[in-house]
Amino acid sequence: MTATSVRGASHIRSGLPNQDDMKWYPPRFSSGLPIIMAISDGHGSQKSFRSQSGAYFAVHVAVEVIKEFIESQADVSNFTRVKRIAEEQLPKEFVRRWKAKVLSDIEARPFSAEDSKLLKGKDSVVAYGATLLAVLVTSEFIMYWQIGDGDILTLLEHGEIERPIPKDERLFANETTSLCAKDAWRDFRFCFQPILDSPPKLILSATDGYANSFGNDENFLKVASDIWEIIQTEGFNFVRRNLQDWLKEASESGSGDDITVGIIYSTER
Amino acid sequence: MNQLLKLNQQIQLETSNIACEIERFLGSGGQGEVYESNMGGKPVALKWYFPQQATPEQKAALEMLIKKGAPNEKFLWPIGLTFSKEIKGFGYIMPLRESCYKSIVDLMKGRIEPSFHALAMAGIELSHSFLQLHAKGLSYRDISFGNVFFNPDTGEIRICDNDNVAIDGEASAGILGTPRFMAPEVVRGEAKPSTQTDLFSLAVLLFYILMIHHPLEGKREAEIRCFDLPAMNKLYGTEPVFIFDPNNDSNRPLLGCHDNAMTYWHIYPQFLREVFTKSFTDGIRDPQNGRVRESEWRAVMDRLRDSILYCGNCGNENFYDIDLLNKSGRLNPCWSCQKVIRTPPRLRIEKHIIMLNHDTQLFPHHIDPQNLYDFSKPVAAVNQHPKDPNIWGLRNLSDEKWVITLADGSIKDVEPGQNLTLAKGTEISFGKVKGEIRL
Repeated sequence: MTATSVRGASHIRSGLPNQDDMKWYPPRFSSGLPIIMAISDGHGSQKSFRSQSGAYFAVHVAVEVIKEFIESQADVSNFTRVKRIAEEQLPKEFVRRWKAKVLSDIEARPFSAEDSKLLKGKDSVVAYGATLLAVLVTSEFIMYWQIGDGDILTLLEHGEIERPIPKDERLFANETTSLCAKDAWRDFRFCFQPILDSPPKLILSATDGYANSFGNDENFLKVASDIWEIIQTEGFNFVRRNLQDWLKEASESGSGDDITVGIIYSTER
Repeated sequence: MNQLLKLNQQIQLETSNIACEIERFLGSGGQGEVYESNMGGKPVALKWYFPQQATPEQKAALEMLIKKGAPNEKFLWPIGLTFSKEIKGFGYIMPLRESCYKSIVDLMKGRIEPSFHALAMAGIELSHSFLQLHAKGLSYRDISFGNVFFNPDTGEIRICDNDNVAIDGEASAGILGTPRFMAPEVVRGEAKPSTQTDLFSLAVLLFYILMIHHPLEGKREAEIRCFDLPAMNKLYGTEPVFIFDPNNDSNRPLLGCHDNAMTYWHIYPQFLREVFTKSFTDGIRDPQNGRVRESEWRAVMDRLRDSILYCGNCGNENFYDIDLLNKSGRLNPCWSCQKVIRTPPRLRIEKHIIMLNHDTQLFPHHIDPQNLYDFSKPVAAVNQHPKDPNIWGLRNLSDEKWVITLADGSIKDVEPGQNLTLAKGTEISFGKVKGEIRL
């Protein structure tokens, strides 16, 4: 597993911080299960002026909640139950804890008069607006959660590339579902994959700055198989060392946006 | 990602030589994968079990269900067992769910916004279907919103995942799903799923459909980690408290967390609130005698459907609450625009009151006691006079002649295709029942 986040080329030019964030479990990149990977993209629009913190809270809450969830399940072989709890209950807990962190942050660092003006009367949590993409891999199954834009790709045994979570048709023209929306838990999309004979070889999750750096979806999807091939020829450490440069290059020549990518790959032959 | 079967693979039906060709992966659940497949030119759904779920008990259960047959066409019931020479295990075929049927998850997530009329129809169909299932001596055991689909335009339903249905009383103790839809005595481990516990789950599901919220999730739910099983067992098993329990306010819905429940509860008429209150107070304390039966639910949902009226100002649906009218002399203002609501003409058939809105239709269900719950073809429809829009009528769409008695005592025939004017005191003899127009 590895993950990297780069500050967008346009953010560097305009002095904006990197508003993406990422977190994973176990804390050191290592092999062994379970694995939790979370990435988030702070909206970065004018009214979401604290979205860098929003993204930070999002990934921390996601890893914390998923870890508690998987540790508290006495019987993970009851797929029906585990799946239902993950799908129906976890999004509520993500949103609830994220909001609690946001509200206590506002209490600790109240908005200035200028800040409040930027919100234009919107709910104060909008200042922290962010997306969330989270993946849990256990020996029995994989789960994916997503709110807002961004991509999760899986590379299967025979090289097919799939999006376990289909694109949300409501995400268009830069409108995005977000942790800061009213009843945000309803907007979570979810996928459950039991692991039978052939788990995915590679899972790649990326904030939308990555896909937007490619001319079309086809080229973007190819990234997953390209990375897999590089792992096969050069080894995973090579990817780990170079990923940041690749992402910088992609942002400079492409979207100009922050890019965060998490990669989980299977060492099983 | 499908893992069990491959596209274009041929799967055999056990009892015939017909093969099914796998055409499309539809989804993965906790027990197996479902595919769209082609059975001799007919599209069907095929579920194939994960190896650890493909047990002899499951196979025996399926054989029993196939032999018994579907309680009605709302159930996407197993039709035949399937096997393959290349792959171990088994599966079964069932009717395919058409794309107009949406999941209750879509309703919960606000992706569809059906009318109250459609929701009440869904309630009628659900309770009617469960009555028929139970009448066959079967219990569903795992009612939850993942298993029920409905057409948001009409309220027609489809019930999926019927492979967990068992003969009542013979079910193994296997606990399915999450505690959220289970009867408290099942959560506590004191009872096995049965038709009696199905009644509780049905009440939860109906509450969920109408309020878009769970009846036991209030203040106490907001205080726990909502995936923590011991905490869930307390909430749904050992200490369940209805969020609107009139005698216990410890679990009221919280503003900001449970807004749907707080909004919808007050929109619905008192008779509905009373039945939910009974379900989640007496129904929790006394599982044997306190629960609301399927037939009662069906009658309540039917009454709810016929109580719908429209706000003359904003056009939103509201409800005719006769208890409130008797108590305070008027209806609540429109829940949406807060303007006073004018009641439309009404038709009283025995104790049943039907709002005669601009789009009301009557069905055999309303006028023929031998054909209750037949909503297939309208027998009457409200319409406007072509020349004078102030005059409203009821057109006879049936094949039978109606006889009406006007307020002045005069008697007239209303032949099929003819109209009668909606006027105060007009009595209509539909043949088997009589109705009276009220303004």
